[in-house]
Amino acid sequence: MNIFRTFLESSIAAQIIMALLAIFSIWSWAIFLKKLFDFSKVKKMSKRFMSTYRFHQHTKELENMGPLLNDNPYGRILRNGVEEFKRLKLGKRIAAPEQNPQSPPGSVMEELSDNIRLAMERTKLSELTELEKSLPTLSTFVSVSPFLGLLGTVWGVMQAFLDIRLRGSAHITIVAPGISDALITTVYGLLVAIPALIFYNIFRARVNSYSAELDQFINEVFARLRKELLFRQ
Amino acid sequence: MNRFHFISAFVHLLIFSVLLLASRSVKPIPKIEVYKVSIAPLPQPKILSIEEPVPEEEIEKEIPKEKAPPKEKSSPVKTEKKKLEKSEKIIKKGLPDIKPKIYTGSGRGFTYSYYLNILLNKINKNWHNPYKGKDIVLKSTVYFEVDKKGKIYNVRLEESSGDNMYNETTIRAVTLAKKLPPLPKEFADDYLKVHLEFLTAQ
Repeated sequence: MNIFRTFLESSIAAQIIMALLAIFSIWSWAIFLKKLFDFSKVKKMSKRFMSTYRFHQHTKELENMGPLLNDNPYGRILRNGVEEFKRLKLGKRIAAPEQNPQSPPGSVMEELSDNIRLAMERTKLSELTELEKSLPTLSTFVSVSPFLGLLGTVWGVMQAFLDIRLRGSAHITIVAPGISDALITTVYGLLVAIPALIFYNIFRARVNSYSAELDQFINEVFARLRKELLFRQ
Repeated sequence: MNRFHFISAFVHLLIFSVLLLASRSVKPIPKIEVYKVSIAPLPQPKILSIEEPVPEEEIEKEIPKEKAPPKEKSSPVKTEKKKLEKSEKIIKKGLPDIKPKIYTGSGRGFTYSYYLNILLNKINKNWHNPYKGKDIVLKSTVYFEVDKKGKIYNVRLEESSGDNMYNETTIRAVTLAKKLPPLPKEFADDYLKVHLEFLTAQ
């Protein structure tokens, strides 16, 4: 089967549909390659960060991790958490217990410490948004491509029946070429949709697992900073 | 557009070129050559005469249709008796079971017998009569047009024989002919109208 001959011999409608599907295919593979590159980069950087992070016991040491705090999601979450921690500790906002002597000591601090978690959660969301970028486009290709292929097929079958009416014959030699051309667009639609669906599922699963890992990290950092805020004032 | 789009486009081009090369390298299925050898002359088929009494009821129903004059909606058409006679002679010789009634676009006659012979031979080659040698008489008329370049178009069944399979074979025979030699240069009209009657022979 010569794909170029099939393309050239098809009707204009089928050619437009096949061209659109080719664009979708190129686009979806580009998204796949970009995401593959992004995820491998994030994984590499995060691994490097975590191996350094385990050796720093004190908060002051965390501040001195340098570029490791900027080049990966874990680092950026930690940086924002530590910055919020510093603001709470040094910003004189912890004078609340003196203003309201009835409240138990440390209760305001405990409430304010939630700000650290919120700052880290906010960073996590922006990181996940960045990782999820282009996934909706991929999802659109998954759902649209088979329908577009089907449209081409229905159009081709319609043309074949029109030929039958014009020629006044339903012989196989008249019907078969039209049907064969028509089915090609469905094949192309599926060829675009199937890889795109696989890519989408792979990256969706990766984003989900990454989100869980970041949650775990946030809990760990929060517990550490909260402890320091409450007991080392 | 980023570098990944270019990489993806390049990979697609690569795959397409590989597929193209692969499809070119596949050898086409060789056509089997058929040699026809006639050891003894075959008995010539007899055309069922219209006047002859036919015992079967079905055949009787078909015969009046043959008697009916050809229907021509567009213009008053001249039937050329000479042409018909010639075609009848061809039938008697055992060539095709085909009766052509040929008119020009403007309704004038067509006087080029050599062209008619080519037309009939070509169509006859493509026609496989499913009832050959059987006691069934059927007649269908196929209408088509031939342009100056000899291209056949507007093929349609003008008169049904009542048997779909038989109708299909007659349309197929004309459709497969596709192209004929260009119409004679002296022929002034733009196209030729052909009403072709296909008859089964006993």
